[in-house]
Amino acid sequence: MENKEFIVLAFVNNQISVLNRITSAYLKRHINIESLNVSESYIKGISTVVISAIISEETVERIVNQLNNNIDILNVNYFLQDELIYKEMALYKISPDFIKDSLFFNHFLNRLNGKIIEISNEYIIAEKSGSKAELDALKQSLERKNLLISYARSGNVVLQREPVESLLRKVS
Amino acid sequence: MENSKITGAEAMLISLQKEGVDTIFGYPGGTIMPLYDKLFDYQQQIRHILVRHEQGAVHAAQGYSRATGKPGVCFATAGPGATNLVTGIADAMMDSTPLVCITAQVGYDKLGSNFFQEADTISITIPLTKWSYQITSASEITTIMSKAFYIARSGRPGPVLISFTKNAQTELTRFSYTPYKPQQIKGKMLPEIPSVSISEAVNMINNSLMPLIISGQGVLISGASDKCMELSQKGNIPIITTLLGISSVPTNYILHGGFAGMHGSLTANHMIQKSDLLIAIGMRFSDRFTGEIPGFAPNAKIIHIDIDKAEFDKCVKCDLKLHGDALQTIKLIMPGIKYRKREEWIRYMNQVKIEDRNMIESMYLKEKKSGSISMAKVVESVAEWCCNDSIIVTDVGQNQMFAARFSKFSNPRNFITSGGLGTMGFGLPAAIGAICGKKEKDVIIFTGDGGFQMSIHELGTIMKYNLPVKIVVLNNSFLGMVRQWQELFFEKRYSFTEMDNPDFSKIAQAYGILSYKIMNFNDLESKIKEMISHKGPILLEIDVTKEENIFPMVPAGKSLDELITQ
Ligand SMILES: Cc1ncc(C[n+]2csc(CCOP(=O)(O)OP(=O)(O)O)c2C)c(N)n1
Repeated sequence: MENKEFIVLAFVNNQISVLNRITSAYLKRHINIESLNVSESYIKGISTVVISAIISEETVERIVNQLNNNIDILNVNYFLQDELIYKEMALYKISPDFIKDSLFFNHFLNRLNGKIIEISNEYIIAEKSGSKAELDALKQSLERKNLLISYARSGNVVLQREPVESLLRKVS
Repeated sequence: MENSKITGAEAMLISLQKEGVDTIFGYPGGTIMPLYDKLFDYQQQIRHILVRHEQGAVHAAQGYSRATGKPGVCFATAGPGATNLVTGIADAMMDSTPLVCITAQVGYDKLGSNFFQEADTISITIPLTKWSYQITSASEITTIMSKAFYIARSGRPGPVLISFTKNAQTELTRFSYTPYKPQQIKGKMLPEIPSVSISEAVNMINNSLMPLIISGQGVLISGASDKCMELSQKGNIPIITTLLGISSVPTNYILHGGFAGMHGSLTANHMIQKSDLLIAIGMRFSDRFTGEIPGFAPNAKIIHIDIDKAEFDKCVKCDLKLHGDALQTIKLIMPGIKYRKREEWIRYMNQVKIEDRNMIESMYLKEKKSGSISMAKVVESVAEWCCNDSIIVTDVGQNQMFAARFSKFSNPRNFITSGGLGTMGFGLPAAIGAICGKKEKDVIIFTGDGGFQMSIHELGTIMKYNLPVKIVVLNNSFLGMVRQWQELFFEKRYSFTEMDNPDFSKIAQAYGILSYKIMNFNDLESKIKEMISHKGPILLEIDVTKEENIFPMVPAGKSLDELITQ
C-alpha cells in the first residue's frame, strides 16, 4: 500500500498522559510523526490532537483502531489533507533587504497575504498562514534570494467540514 | 470533624473492599509502607499473600483472575518493585486479563527529582496498560479506584496501573464511594448489531456444508461456554478452540476437534483448512493460530464475533463482522440456526481424529524401548487420575503445548497459560493465584526445568501459606522448545540450550514440600496417584525424554497445510 500523509484527528480528555498514549501508538510501529498539535477544543475539558505522519492507509487504520480503544480518547478519525480545512502558520526572520526588493515585498503582502509583525535594523519578522506547500514555497523563494535568517512553523490546525452538532454527539 | 477523616491508605483499602477484592498479592517497600501499615489492621477483611518477587505477585494476580473471572490485584513499592511488575502487566495486556496493579510512588513534591526509588512507572507502562493513573491526592482515591476496576473489567478486559504517591497515602480524606458510571459512549455501551447482519450470519451458517466454530478466550470471558456448545449442538457444527480458548468446550464433546495453531492438534488444523465457514468467536487470529496468512483457511468464509472492533480485519480479512459481546451475540444468532446433517463434514472430522489419535499413540504414548518418559504420557496420566474439574496451569515451552494437547477439561476457566506473550516463569505464581481464588479445586501445574527456575523462589510462598499446589516439573535438562527449533531449523546446533540442573526434589524438600524424583516409567502412575490424593503442596520432578519434539508443528512462516509431523 502506498504511503501518504494521513492526518489523525482526536478529541481527548484534557488529562496527563493522554498525549503519551497517542504517540506511543506511533512509536510502537516505528513511525515518525511529521507534525503534532494539541489545543483546547470548542468543548470545555476536551482537547483536539492533530497528528500527521506519512504512512499507509492500513497502518493509519490500525493506529486509529488502537486509539479508539483508549479510555481518554473520545473520538478519533483519520483524513487526507484535502478532506479537512487545514492550515499551518509560519514565522520568517528575514534580512531587512527584503523591503528593498519591492516587487517581491509587494507580492508577499498583497498576493500571499503575508503580514509584517516586527521590524528592526537587523531583521524583519513576517508571518504567513497557509498550507504546508504554500509555506514551503515562500521559504524557498526567500532562501533563493538569500534573505532568510530563520524560520519556524506551527503544527497543523484543522477543522472538519462536518457540522458541529454531529461532532458534539460523538463526544458527549 | 477531623475524626470522620481517614488516611488515603485506609481509603484505598476500603475502596478495594467495595470492589469485592478479597485477595491481594504483594510485596512491601519504603514508599508503600503507609499502605502496608494500614493493611496490618485489615488482615481479617483482606487476605494479603506475600510473594517472593513482585513478578510473582503480578502473575499470581493473573492466575487468580483467570481462574475466578474477577480482576486480580497486586501491590508493589515504587521503583524496582514497580518495574518488577512490567512483564506480568505486558502479559495481561496481551491476554486480556483484568488486573488492578497498585504501585507506590514518591511524594508529589519529590516527583522528577530522582528521589530514592523513583521510577516513572506511568510512562514505563503506558503501552502495556488499558489505562493508568497517578493518584497524587487522597481526595482522588475513591473516584479513581472505582473507575480503575470498571475499566479493567469492562469491554475487552485488561490491566490498569495505579501509581499511588506517598503523600496521597498519608493525607486525610473523607470517604464516600460511588460506583463509576461511564459518561462517554465510548467503549462502554456497545452499538447494537444490525439485524441484517444477524440474519446474514444465520444464513451463512445454515447454508454452510462445513462450518466450524472457533471458540476463543472471549467465550470464557463473557461466560458464553454453554451458549457456544448449544450453538454447536443446535446446528450440528464442529467446534475447535484457540490456545486460550481451551476449557471453553469439554474435551470429550463429540464435535470437539481440539485446539488449532502452531502446536495445535492435527484435527483442528486440518479442519480449518477444509472448512467452508469459520465462525470465530472472541479470538484475534494471532500469528501462532493462523500460520502464514495467505494459506489460512483457503476455502472458508469467515464470520468474526468480537467485542474489540480493532481486531476486525487486523490479521485476517473477514466476510462478516459482528461487533459485540460473545454471549449476547450468540444469543441473537441462535434462534435462526437449523440442524443440518453435514454427513461428509462429520465423517471427515472423525476420520482425522482417528489419524490424529494413531499418530499420538505411536509417537508418544507407547512405552519407549529406552524406558524414557514422554511428556505426553505424564500429562495424559495426570488427566486420567485427576478430578475432571481440576485447574491446569502451564509454564511456557514444550511442557505448555503437551499440557494443552493432552489435558482433559469439563468446565470453563480450568486452563491457565501465558498465550500472547509466552512468558516463562508465569506458571508457578499463576498456580498460586489460581489456588487462592479457587480453594475448592485441585490446581496442577506443568512446568519445564527452565521456566520453573524463573520463579522457583515462589516455592517460599507455597510453603508459607501451605498452598496445596501440585507441581509437575517436566525435566528434560534442556530449554526444550528452543532445542526443538534448533534441531529442526538450525541443524541441531544446540547453542546454549542445555541445562545443568539442581536436584529439584531436594529443593522442594528444603521448603518443606513433599516431593519425589521419578526416573522410571514404572513409577510414574503410582506417584501421580499419590500426588492427586495428597492434601498439601507436592512436587514431582520427572525425568522426561531429553530430546523429544512436540508434533504436529506448523513451522514459522508456513501455512497450516504445511504442518510437519516428524
Ligand atoms: C521469559 C522468557 N525467556 C525466554 C523465552 C524463550 N523460550 C520459549 S520456550 C523456551 C524453553 C523453555 O524451556 P523449559 O522451561 O525447560 O521448558 P520445555 O520447553 O523444555 O518444556 C524458551 C527459552 C520465553 N518464552 N520467555
